[in-house]
Amino acid sequence: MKRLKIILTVSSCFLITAIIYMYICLIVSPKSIHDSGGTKYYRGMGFLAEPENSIDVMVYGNSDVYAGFVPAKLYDEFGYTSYASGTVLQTIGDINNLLKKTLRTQAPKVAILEVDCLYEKRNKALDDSNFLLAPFVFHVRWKELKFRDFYTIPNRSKKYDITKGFVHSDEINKYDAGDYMGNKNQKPHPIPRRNLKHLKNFIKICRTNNIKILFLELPSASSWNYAKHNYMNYLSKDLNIPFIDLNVKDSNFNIDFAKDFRDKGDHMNVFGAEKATTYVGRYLKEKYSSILSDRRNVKEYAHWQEVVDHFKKVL
Amino acid sequence: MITTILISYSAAIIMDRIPLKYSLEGLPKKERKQLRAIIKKKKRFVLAIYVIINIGILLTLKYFNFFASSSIGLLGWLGINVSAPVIKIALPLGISYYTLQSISYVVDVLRGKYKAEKNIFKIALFISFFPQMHEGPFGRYDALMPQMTSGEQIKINNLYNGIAQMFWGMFKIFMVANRAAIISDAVFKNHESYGGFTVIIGVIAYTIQLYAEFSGYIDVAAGVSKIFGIGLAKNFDMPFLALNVGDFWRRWHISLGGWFRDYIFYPISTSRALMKIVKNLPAFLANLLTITIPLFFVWFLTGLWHGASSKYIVYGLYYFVLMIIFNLISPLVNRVLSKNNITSENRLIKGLRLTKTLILVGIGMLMFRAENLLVFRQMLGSVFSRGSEFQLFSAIEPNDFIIFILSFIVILLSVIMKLKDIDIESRFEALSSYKKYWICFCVFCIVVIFGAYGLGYIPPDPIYGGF
Repeated sequence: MKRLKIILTVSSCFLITAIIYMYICLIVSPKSIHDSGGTKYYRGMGFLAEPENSIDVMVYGNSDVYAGFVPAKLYDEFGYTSYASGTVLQTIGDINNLLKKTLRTQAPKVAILEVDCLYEKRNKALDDSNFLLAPFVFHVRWKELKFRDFYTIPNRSKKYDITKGFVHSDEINKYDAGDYMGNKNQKPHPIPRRNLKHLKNFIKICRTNNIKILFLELPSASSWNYAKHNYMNYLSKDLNIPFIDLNVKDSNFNIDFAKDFRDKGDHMNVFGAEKATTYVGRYLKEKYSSILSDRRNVKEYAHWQEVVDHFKKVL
Repeated sequence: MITTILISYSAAIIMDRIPLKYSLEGLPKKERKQLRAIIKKKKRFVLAIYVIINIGILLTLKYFNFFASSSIGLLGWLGINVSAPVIKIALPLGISYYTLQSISYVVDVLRGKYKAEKNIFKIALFISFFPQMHEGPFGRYDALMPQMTSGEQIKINNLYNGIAQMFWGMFKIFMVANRAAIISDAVFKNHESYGGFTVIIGVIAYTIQLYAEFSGYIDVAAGVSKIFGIGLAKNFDMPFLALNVGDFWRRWHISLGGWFRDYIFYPISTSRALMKIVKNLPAFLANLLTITIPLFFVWFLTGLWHGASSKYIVYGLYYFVLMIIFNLISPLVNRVLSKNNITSENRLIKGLRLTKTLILVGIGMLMFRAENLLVFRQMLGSVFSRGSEFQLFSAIEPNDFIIFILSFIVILLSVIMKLKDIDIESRFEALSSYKKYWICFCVFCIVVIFGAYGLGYIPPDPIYGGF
């Protein structure tokens, strides 16, 4: 009898603890993109709130994507609708899940994969999507809690994002490009075997759904070098997928190390991102104009003008 | 650390074996005395070799660059230009702590306090006991080893009490220290702009940061040890209620003070060399020197222990000067007070002494935190001038400041309860497991939700962890 009492007390203790802790997780989780941490929490999946089959170009990758690709700019200059589905330290495994989610409501014509993510290894501790880590990851949220936070269940679908995934920053922190990219003849640095497997799966899904793939590397001085470039060059030829690396001189992309970075070479700021987007847009127009349409004068896409206006207003 | 473990183990074993080589039985008293002197001399020789190697490792790894640059500077001043290589080696974690701790073990074996340990793994356990590796406290072999080897099982009560103490430590670090650091950093990093009361705010914030952080880490270490049924040495005893600087250091970093007292002060003050020096001096001067000379070494080394920089040496000597002045003045002050029928228990006198001590400790804190002695001098001077207006809420967000104040009040309440002889620890221990569990869970939730860590905060480096 005594034993049963102990078991009951201990289990009820654990149960109550779990309920309270889960409720704390629920309270502190961001409920909107505008909450602290909301950008990280929802940004990659904002496409779920887009009208069905309205996105023609999906850009997948890690933080380089949301910092360096501006969907508003691509629409403004070329009329292509796109979404920058990048989050911090996103891996190709996560991207495959995003791709599957994308295909439920969208039918993109082109999938751009920012290849820096192929070198990311899965780190569960830093996984912002882990609900149980919310009090640690979003613990600054106590400063801004509203009444709705106590009863709203965080829902990542249906979070409309007017920036289409782009995270604006006009901060300028110049990069000293002393040994940028290193030696041209560096030995290729292969991606982890697990990521290669995920990449092949990504390619398979895209090809099954008739989506053209483009490998892209946006300028990132601190995470990219010739060793990685050489490997991706080899891989792109092997897989028959075009590869643009804006870090190498051959790309004719002019990086301004004094003005284009927000954090000393790691991520681009809005000025660098605009330039990179225009460059990618030109490439898309040149290579994929047969499958991509200019949506600027199409009635169903009129809301994209608001996206452009919002971007220009923030700029 | 492996070297320290090996040499500490070997030195103690060798010292223990030296007397076995000599048989004192049946010898005349005089010869026995002579033999004892030889044994003592040999033991001391072993100790000297041991200390040279052990301290040599510490000096090379931690102080080589400082001594080399100071010597080069001095020689350059004398017109001799030399150069020395700069050693870039990662400093082993806790080297200052485990080096002194291991010395205490070997010295105590020499003094015959206990026998040398024959099991090297026990010595390794004592020297590398992980909770106290980072910021102390300094443990003594005779206090720790019986607890470590008693083979006691983890008890549920120890588990709760240990976890509670750990969370209390985390509360101090994440709720108070890391927020006080935001204010002190704002003042110290822009010291050129500020003067007057702002500098005082910076010093107060830094003092709170240092105390909350250091005592917090000690609580975490003590909590972890408690889980295993091991009690660590006490390191704090309400230091800011001290009535003089000597009293402050008896309440602050108690285990370090205790180490310097037992292994530096007493050996020097009772040494033959010092006795010879003071032998023919007048009583007043002899007494003064008997205290001053050992005290000088204690504070010089205390300063040096804190860091390889002239700032820390001056910091140590600052307290040395204060203590000498206190020793000289206090008999006069006491005489004046007793002539006027004022006891030391008088509230006004106590208040004045407390204020004086806080000011002197505050000056010490300013020196400790300032980047170098030049900055210290400039900041101390600027206390009496007016600088730019300090915008507190541009340094720290208002809601962070509120949490800081509320948490600080909680710490103050714990001090007040101690003063009123309310033993919080015993009261907590007397609670049922159920209540203990929920108290721990509440503190955990408070620290996790409101703690200043991670995203949005720049974590300050553990101050004493750097020593």
